[in-house]
Amino acid sequence: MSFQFLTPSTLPEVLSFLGESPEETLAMAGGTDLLLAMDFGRFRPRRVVSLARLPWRWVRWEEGVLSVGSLAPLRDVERAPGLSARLPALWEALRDVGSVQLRHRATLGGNIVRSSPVSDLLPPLLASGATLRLVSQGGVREVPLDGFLRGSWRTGLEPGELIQEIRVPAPQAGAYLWQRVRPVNDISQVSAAASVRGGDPTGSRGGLWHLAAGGVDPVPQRLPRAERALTSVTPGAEEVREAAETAAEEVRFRTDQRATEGYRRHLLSILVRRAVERARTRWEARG
Amino acid sequence: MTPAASGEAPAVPHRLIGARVPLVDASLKVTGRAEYTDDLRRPNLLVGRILKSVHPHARIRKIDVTEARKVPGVAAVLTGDRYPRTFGVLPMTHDETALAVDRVRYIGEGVVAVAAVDEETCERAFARIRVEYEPLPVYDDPKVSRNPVAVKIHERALRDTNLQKEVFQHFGDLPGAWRAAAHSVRVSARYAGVTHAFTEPHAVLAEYSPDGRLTVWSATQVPHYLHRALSEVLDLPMHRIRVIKPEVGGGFGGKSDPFPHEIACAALAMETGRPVKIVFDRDDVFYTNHGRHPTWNTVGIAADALGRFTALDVEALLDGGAWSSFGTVTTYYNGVLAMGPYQFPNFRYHGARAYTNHPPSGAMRAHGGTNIRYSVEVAVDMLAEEMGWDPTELRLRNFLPPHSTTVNEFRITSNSVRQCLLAARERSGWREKFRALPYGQGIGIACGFYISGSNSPIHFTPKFPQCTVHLKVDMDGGVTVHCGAADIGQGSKTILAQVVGEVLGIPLDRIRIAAVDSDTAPIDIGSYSSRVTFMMGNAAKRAAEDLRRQLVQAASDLTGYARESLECGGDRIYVRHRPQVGVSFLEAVHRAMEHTGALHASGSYESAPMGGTFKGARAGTAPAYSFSAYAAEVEVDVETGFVRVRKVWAGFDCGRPLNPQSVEGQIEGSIHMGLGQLLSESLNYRGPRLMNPSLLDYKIVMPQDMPEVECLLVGEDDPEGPFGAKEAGEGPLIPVLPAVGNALYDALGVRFLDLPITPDKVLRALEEKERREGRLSKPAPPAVMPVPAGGTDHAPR
Repeated sequence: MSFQFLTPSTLPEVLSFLGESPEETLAMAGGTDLLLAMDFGRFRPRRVVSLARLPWRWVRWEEGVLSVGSLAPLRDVERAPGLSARLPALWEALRDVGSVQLRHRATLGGNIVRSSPVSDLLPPLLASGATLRLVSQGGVREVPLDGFLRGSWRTGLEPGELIQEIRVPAPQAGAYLWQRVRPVNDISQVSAAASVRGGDPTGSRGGLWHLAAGGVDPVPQRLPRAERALTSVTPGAEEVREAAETAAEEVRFRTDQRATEGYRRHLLSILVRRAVERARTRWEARG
Repeated sequence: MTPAASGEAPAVPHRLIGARVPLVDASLKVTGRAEYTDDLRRPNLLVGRILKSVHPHARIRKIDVTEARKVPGVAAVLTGDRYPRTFGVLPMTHDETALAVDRVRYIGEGVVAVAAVDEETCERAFARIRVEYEPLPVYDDPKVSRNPVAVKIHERALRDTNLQKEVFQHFGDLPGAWRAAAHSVRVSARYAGVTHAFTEPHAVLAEYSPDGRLTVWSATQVPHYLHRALSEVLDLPMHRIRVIKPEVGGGFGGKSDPFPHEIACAALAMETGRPVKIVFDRDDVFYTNHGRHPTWNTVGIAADALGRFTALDVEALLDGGAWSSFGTVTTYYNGVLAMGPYQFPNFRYHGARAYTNHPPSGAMRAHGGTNIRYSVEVAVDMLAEEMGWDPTELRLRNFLPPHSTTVNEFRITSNSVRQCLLAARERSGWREKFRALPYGQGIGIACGFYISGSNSPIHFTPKFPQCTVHLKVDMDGGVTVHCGAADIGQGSKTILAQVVGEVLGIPLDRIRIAAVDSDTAPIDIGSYSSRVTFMMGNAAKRAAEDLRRQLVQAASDLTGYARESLECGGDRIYVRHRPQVGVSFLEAVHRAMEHTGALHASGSYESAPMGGTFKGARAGTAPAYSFSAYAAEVEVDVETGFVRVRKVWAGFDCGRPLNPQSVEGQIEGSIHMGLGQLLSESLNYRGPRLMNPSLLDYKIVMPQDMPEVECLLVGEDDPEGPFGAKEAGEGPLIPVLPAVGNALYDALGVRFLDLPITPDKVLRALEEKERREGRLSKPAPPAVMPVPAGGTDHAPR
């Protein structure tokens, strides 16, 4: 396989390279997914544009929002001060992605564009109400992550468009749980994220609780029906059970080499229940 | 005469044996300076690649390589007809070829080898190779292969079946014992194939020089067997072949055969006159496999009313894959290694190994002793439960005594299995925990044993010792050790240095271990069957003792003291009752070299004749056996089926541990490997196709998932081991699987008889149990504790 590898250092250069022959050009962030996919023959680009020289590697708190440059390595996000207290679901997901070595290389933006059905990061980002800032030669736009993911390797990103920033409102009590054959350096078979915030339950972002599932078909997604079963920030056991059962009913699962549909369905219910319970405990324990 | 300066404290002898010595090559390895095969470069080096079969079973009608040869940068294209002579690790079952000759027998088998300037050019050549296949019936199930078949995978398969080997053994009167038994159990279990997953992929570099000599560097456990196979297949005399083993990044049995790619690489080098290197990708490693056989086995154990075992009845069916490899040995081992630390007066075994169109199975750490041990130890647990006994008590009642003989004429020497069990039971808090932990938590125990070096060398013609060691001392006082034993990361170089240093009383930095190089090293038959410490250790000890005799004579000449009164230690040779009188090691060396200019010594090891005279009597005989008893504590998430092993108490008898740090490393590594097979590792086949040839989907345990391990080294000196040592490289793997399996029963009341025990299987089993019994509950505690705490001695027969 041969391809041209371009390493532009400014955004205009990057966007111009991407715009030249978009169908034969791919952008590369950390490359941990893309290079494998190219090795397996899924993509055969003529040109790969490295984003490594763009300065989008920041991780910072901005008045109640975690702002992450899309090229920030996962390891940097994981080590953001106060992350485990302010966004525990995201932190729990980050520390269990692959290995430390991989997390030094892989980026948050890359993980979103990969849009993997078994991503460990998309469920907590969805449950946390993350938004994306996208840039292209046409300008800048902001979109919620919810609705952005279309399928494996497919997102709402337009040709020639890049994710520049990921914004996550904080603080949120939350939790992220997965099921794997082995705990470390494995791909989750199914996973659940829960996030709870106080405030007005009739607010624009819907209810008090945001739930999301991974390992589902075709991409990680919110669980709106299950969320509606939870009517307070400290739901009782019956409500939690109801939400957990609803969750398993409202998404589709696949059978593949890693797990069967029935197993995933069964596990999602358990993981949703536990995630809600853990998030509730954290809510109650908040300072 | 050079007495030490007066007033100087008497030299303290080095005590290298039993010391926690770091591996002598550790600093090279951790700094990345150790040279593995892929690190080696030669001028004009070509890259070799092997085109693999995509068919599981097919006749090769035609291979057209004309266009591939024309690709610029291609130096040679080799097909199987060039070197069709068969080879294999066992002389009786040669059925492999360097490249497929007229048939392919599994997906991944090598068909065409190409040498070119780089990998991409090899791939371009592959794209221009046309192979015409005629598909043949595919055999992916040994239960089919054992019956009459339409097409035999190999002509040498038995009768009209695809069986590679069948074993029948019967000692005593099994049916009679079974009829007379007061208690009996039967267990049938199934084991997925697992593979070694060593760090370094297979790699080989070959060079053929104009003087007609071939040099092969290879990541191998068996340089000598490779040497032979190269000679046989390439039709070159052994003295024109030089085999060098660089550092090897793990083997675990996966590098203990001579391999087709090694021969193909040498052939490419001969064809091109240029050095050629083949380094495998990870998927090549998976297709090459030679891992543990997928196995179906049944174990029956009978006991009398006093709890004494009276009979052991074993059946095993093994999926051998496409080749024989070590399979004949594996077939025997799955029976004869079932008896193990217990005494059975009656024993029957029926074992069979079938050819299939899967990648070949072979030898893997605790070869032939792992799967059958799980079934036996689960059966013992079940028998204890049926009898209402504590399973540790039932085991204590039935252990083989030290210095005894089994019914199939294994000679047992030192045996501390009882001490292993008592230590594991004591340290684990067994009495407080067994059947008493909350639901979902449990403790289990299991025992094991393993050969400390196969008594039979694979090649017995010409007859020579299993291991020879040469020592060479130069005027600088450095001792160079030449030995063919392959250090594959297990630490044999360190043991070699410790043994030589101990005998000569010199520090380790005086000792240089020469790389395995057939031009200079005497023969050692390889690193397999846990033979190296025992056999190489004995050979090295004898060589060092020979050298010591020469040096003590020199010291005697210098000091005027009789040889008998001299002692080696602290880098000196001194008078035992007047330690301040003596000479330095170097002075003795110089004196000893005065008339020869050189100082050499040799030692060798050959195991004693042993075993019965019946067919297969040699299988499983060894000059000593390691023994073990592990306790394991688990907790299970009963909602998700996830199993966590909390702690393992590893009671192990390796005789005297020559290097406890190294032994503990082997025990921890073995537990890591065993837990993988038990909980997560599996070669997943869909029909003949391997579905997970990658380390992402073949799930070895990660270091972070390891339980705490407490090593309990309780062995006594073995009478024949070097300084009393026995093996610790393979035996430590065996008991962890059944110990955890039995702990899972204690935790959940479910017997898991289908490995690996993945969370989905745990969940399914719990659902079935709940459906059957209406609830989930612990098994009942033993009704009777028939013997007082501490156990009894072996019951007399």
